[in-house]
Amino acid sequence: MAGRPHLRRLAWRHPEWWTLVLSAGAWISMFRPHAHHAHPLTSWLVMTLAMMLPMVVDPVRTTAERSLWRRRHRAMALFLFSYVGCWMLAGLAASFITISHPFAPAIAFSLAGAWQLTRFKRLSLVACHRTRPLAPRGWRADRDCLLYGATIARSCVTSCWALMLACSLAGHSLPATLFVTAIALTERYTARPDQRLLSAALFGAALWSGYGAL
Amino acid sequence: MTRTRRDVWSLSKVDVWEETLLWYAKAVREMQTRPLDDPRSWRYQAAIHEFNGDGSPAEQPADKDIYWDQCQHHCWFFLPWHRWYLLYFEEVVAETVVALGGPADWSLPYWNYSDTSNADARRLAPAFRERQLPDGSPNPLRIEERTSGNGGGNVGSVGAIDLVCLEEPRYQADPPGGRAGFGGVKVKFNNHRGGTPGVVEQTPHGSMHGAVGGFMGAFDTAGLDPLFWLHHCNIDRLWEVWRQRDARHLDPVDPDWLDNLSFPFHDGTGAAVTKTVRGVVNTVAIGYEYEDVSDPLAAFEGVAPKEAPMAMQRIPEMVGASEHPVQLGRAPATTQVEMTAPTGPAAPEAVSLDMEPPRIIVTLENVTGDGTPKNYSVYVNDVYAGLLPTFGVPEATHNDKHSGSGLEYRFDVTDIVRLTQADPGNLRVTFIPEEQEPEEKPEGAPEAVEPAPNFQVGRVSVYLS
Repeated sequence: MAGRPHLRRLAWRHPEWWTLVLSAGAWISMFRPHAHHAHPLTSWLVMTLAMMLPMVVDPVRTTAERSLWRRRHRAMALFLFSYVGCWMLAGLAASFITISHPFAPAIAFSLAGAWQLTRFKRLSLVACHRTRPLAPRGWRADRDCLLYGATIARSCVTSCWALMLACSLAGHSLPATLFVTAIALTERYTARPDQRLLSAALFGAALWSGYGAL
Repeated sequence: MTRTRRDVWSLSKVDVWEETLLWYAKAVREMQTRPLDDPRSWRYQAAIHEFNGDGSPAEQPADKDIYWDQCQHHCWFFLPWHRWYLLYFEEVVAETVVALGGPADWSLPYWNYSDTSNADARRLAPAFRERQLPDGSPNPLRIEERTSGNGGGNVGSVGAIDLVCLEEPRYQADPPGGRAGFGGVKVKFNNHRGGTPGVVEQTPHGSMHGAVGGFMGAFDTAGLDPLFWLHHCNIDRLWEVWRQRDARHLDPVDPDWLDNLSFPFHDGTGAAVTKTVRGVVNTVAIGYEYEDVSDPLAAFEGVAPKEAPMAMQRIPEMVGASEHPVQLGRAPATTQVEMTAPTGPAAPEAVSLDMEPPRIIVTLENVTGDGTPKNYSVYVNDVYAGLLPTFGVPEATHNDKHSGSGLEYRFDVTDIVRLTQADPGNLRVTFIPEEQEPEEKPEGAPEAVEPAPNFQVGRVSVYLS
């Protein structure tokens, strides 16, 4: 990149670029035929990488910006390891919910629609923007990156557990995953997201899913 | 009609109860009698900034979720939002003045505490200290909750009224590690409030909020002090001063600032309006101007040259940070920052000829805590670098509209490091709490016991930007 100063500046300004590459790779793997035959935890991992990594580009970039230059990518990797690890624990818990009832996705979407309107949801969504001090060097720096990833994951899981559960019970289907990703991106990246509207959309998805199950 | 906003001290020199101030007092008293759910009431206007839980649910308006708790802080909407807020407050007061039989051209005064030509500048104007109006009735402009000013002494320190903000070259903050900008950091989405105040929001805005104290010390009560509106009027004026003192001082042209977010208010008649930033950047177009927007730093131009033309913007590189948080209390606190040689954009081999030499920025990250706001003087290598006001820190720590990460302050210490020829491997950062000048108290009045401040700087970091 030394001969391409603009690309180098872009990579300096957005060191989190490879987080989005990881996410894109996960989306591509979800498009593969027979992708839904994978082990449930593998499907959960792919779904987390595809859907959740775009939600954390800001804290990942913050992790890099608050690190010494030579540590930036290590710091981001530690953050993501911790963040995805926490989501995998949530996936492990979700794997025990083995409801095969045809109305299960509809119920889960209804639950997500109701959760969208709660105070817990609102507070955890705000907390997804937390930052924390990072030690500059040594094991303390590594520890702080892991803790930062876990802190953001806790808020994200609290905010999005119902959405992800609905996706999981919908068999990680592509339409469900795309729909839920659109909801999550809207509430994360638009000015003053209207949670009543997003909730109504989720209840609409529940009706659609229930109608399909009849 | 274009209103002219005048300095409260120039009015007070004419008469303690000059017409503008007397009518303000009468209008405030009238507005205080209106019910909480009336948009033209005193308490409603304060609740637009942030609601303090006053009154029973039955007294609160049904549309409070739309119009209350709106104040924009620690981000690039701070200045334009408060400009709309002041404008409609001024309209409400002016309508009330007319209804009470006063003049049609009433306009909001400003408090220019930084006026070096006025020895009284840092004192409260007498109309805000008098116990009674000329007719003998209680003076609504004096409130007892203030922690300083009512006794007639100077409010805040010389550092609290510093106008170094006017030298800030850009409105918008640089990326993290760079300069804070005059107007603050860009926030595109409103799930959380921004965490980095612009330099004018830091000082004199935050510093003077904390120095007056009492109602002025918290978001949810600030608007209940009649002085609040004069203070913000001066901050609004300083935006005009900043723009006019240098042709390169320009507002953002980003649609995310100008158009993409709108704010609801009620105008002077109580009618609902929704406004974007674009409508408020020209004060004459919205009906007012300031008596004085001359450059207060003009006399020092030979000492502090204006910024060089904008070069290619640097990407900040962190070169050091403190290992542990710093507790701020009543005693001075010091931390050391060990620095390493830059290996990224600030490394000598990465610096191209079209760039200025990197500036050295000290960033105070995750400033959290609670209690009565206090101002701390920040020294780098024992040289004064600026003021850390903790106004807004409790809200950024506990308010459920904020992520709880606290605030971030940035200081350009390039000249300090060069002047002190400091050890390039270490910076020493010291925080010293500011003491208020003791005020005369009536005989027998109990000594106020101020609770110990409880603030923390999460990390002190150093960037080359």
